[in-house]
Amino acid sequence: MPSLQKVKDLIQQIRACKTAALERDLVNKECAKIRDTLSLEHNDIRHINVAKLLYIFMLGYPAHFGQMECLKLISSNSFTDKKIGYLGSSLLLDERQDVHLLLTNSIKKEFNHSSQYVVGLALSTLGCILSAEMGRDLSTEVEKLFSHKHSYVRKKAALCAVRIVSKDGDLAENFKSSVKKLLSDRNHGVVLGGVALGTVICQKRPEFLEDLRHNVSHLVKLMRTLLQTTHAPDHDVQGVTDPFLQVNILTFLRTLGKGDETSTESMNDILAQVATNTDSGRNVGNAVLYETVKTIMEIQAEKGLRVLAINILGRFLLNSDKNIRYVALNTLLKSVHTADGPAIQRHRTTVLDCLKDPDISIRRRAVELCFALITKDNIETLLTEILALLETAPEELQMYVISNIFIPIERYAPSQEWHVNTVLDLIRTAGGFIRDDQVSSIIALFASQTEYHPVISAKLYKAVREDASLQPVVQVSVWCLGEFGETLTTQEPKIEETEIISTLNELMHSTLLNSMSKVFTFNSLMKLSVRLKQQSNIDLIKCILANYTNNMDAELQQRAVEYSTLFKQYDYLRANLLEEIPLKVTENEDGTGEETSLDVKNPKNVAPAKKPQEMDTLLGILGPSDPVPQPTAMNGVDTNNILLDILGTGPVLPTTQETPVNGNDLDSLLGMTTLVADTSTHIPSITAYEKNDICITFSFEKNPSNPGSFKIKMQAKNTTAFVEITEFLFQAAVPKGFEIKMDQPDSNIIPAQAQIEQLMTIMNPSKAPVKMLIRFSYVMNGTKTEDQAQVSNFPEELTN
Amino acid sequence: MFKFFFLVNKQGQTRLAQYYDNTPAEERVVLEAEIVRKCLGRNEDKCSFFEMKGFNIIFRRYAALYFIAGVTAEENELAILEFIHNLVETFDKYFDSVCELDIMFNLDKAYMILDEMILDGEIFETNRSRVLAPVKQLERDMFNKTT
Repeated sequence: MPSLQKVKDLIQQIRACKTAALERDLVNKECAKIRDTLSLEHNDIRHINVAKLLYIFMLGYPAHFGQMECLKLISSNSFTDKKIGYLGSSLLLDERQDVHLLLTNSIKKEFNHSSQYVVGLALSTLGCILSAEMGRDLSTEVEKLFSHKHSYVRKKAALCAVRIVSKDGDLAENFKSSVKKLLSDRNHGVVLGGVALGTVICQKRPEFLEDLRHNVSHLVKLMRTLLQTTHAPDHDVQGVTDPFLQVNILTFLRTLGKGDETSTESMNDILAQVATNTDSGRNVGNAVLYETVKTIMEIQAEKGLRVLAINILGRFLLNSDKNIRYVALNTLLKSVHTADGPAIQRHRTTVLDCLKDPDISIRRRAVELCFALITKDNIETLLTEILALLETAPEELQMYVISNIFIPIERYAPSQEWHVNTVLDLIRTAGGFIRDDQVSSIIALFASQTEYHPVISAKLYKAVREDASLQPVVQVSVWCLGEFGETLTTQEPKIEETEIISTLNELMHSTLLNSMSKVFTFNSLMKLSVRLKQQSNIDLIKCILANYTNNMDAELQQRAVEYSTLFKQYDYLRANLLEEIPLKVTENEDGTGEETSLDVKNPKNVAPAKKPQEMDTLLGILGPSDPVPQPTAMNGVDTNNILLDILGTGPVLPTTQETPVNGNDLDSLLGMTTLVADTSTHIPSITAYEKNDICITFSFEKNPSNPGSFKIKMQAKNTTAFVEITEFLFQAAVPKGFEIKMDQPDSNIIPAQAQIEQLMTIMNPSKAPVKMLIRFSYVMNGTKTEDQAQVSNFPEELTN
Repeated sequence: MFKFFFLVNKQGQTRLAQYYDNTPAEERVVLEAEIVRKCLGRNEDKCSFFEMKGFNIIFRRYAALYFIAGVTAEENELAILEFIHNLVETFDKYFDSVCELDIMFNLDKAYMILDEMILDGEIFETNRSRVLAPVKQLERDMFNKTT
């Protein structure tokens, strides 16, 4: 027999290795030795080899060549060999290996072994490596073991069955009747197995839920016994009787009670008992309470019980254990959008305290929860806290806060002054994380607040002086400086016109800014050329522009050339072109009060992602990312060409010459509507559907060359304030004699307050009155909604 | 349901690893390293749970050893934490105040104890004496063999 070192020695040697390379060397050598001895087929050293391989495998080295050895060990008569063999096969084999088919037979044989431990071993291993096919072969054998005389075998058989069902739901039928038997077992391990089996059957085959609901009363009884047992040395864990069983039963009850009134009712009582009688002094008790709360929130439990559950979570938030605070926030987050919102509001101050928690994951969840809790009445207090958090928060959290904070601020701002000041504060603390689309909405906000222009310009000027490396801050600031920067020269502390221009000039030279921000600065300088009064400053601006007419950056160079031309050839137009942007008056979404905002969004944000080719040219005129707001005060139609030139960017310039100059084009240019409006007759659009957070409108366009056909542009708008709609699918059907062709929608996701579009072409040769059946489905908050409607209020112009 | 369970020491060396979802061996090493790095990076102030790649990680530190469990999202984190403690107590009872070396040199026993408590990713036995019964049987068997 070859001399072979012990497992212990190998471990010691590996531990003594100083570097990873030495360790790799040693392992490779050892593996080679093991391979040599394997071929000798020596029975006494086989288990040593496999044990070594297991250790090597755990270190992350391949050890699959030992698989056959494991099978040989299993067929040995000694329990030790068997144990190592099974351990080896459960680790080295998995369901994808072919070798395991060989195992099926030896496992089957093992099921009749006299020792309960050997049967147990076989069952555990089977559980680890089971494939669907093996499950089908062995399911009857496993089921027979449910009535084995030893509870040790029964519990393992139950868990083996769990695995079989989770691999192949069809086999659930064989086991579903056994659940009851397992649940009535006296051994807690078997009951746990029964609960797990029941849960997995419910998951795999929801149609069996009804059958399994018969067990509710039994489970409730079990729970009650567990609660009432005060002293059970076998199952006591720090004063609670078998908390693991309690937790699992509660989970199972949750699966069974969801959506079923009768079983929910029979549970209410026991849930209330657990919630009130469990000792919350230790982690164990809290684990049970936590599971109870989860169950109460998910089944349709009665109102009093839900309030009780939320109060338990409120108490959790005050707990000194951070883990408990974490789970409480997590659970509250899940239920804050349901009817329990008001009950959660009462714990607002506790949630606010969590904003100061040292653990970032707790802070993050607390912020999330705060956002959900914001209402008209508490926004001021909540925002103060959130802003305080923002000062010290790490970047990741700042980013999260910034991307979510603007919607509630806009919605619930108590006054315009507060709104403006809060946004200014945000720009100061975490301005670098503001997204591009938010930049435009902030600009719109600032532009609309005429009376605060001096404050805004002063603060933003200061911000840009202090730190000119954050693109969003610079973009917002220079836009505002361009638009109403002259207010700086009239207020205290007074800032000279020259100073403003030199600040902007510095920005143009900055290496920290991208080309987009510099274009913003350019436009701003240009606008200041009509806002500032001293002629010397205007000359200065001209001079700065002239410097960039040969810049490396094509975008900047083009601007510079265009603007210089404007100065030279069209100076009489300059004042009109660069006038202040007029305010756009829009109705608030809920119809209360009027709010002014300005449409300065980039075309890329407004235009749909996919659009027919012909639209490209028109939108292209504006440039792919043109930040210049569109002047609307036009003196005459003949200026359009120049205007288009100014706004255009390089590659699209030639097309602008060919663009027919008429009012319609300008309209669509300025309004950024996506359909080319070349129809002379105007057809009114209709609302096809408006219900449940969705509003679908149709607008029409007739095809002049083929009078029988027309195009419909369907626009689906998400009218909710915050919730995103996903998987939106729109279908339409027309009566006989019509023909319909549908284009792809531009997206199937509709963010809150946004809309998507889809084009349809209808052929109506008989010119019959148009009717349409529409059907659509979408997912919102994880639930799928479907609806359909008949649309018959099509305008008459379509059939004329 | 458990996805995996492993023991790692402070140096990041795996001492025991059991997977319940057939993660391929190559991925295991990467996954372990990644999780360990995260666990080591968390100080006393931070809670013992975090989310990663769609499952929850729950860990508990005993001296130089980290007990790390990866579970599905619906699992009760607090109960898992309690279970880890229960497991450690069981190890303690068997090895008589357990240390890293006990587990290293008795890997098969440690595995056996773990397998007696979690099977197919489900907790199924938490009573210490019942968990240890088959392990004791194994010892008797070995004893008989040597005498």
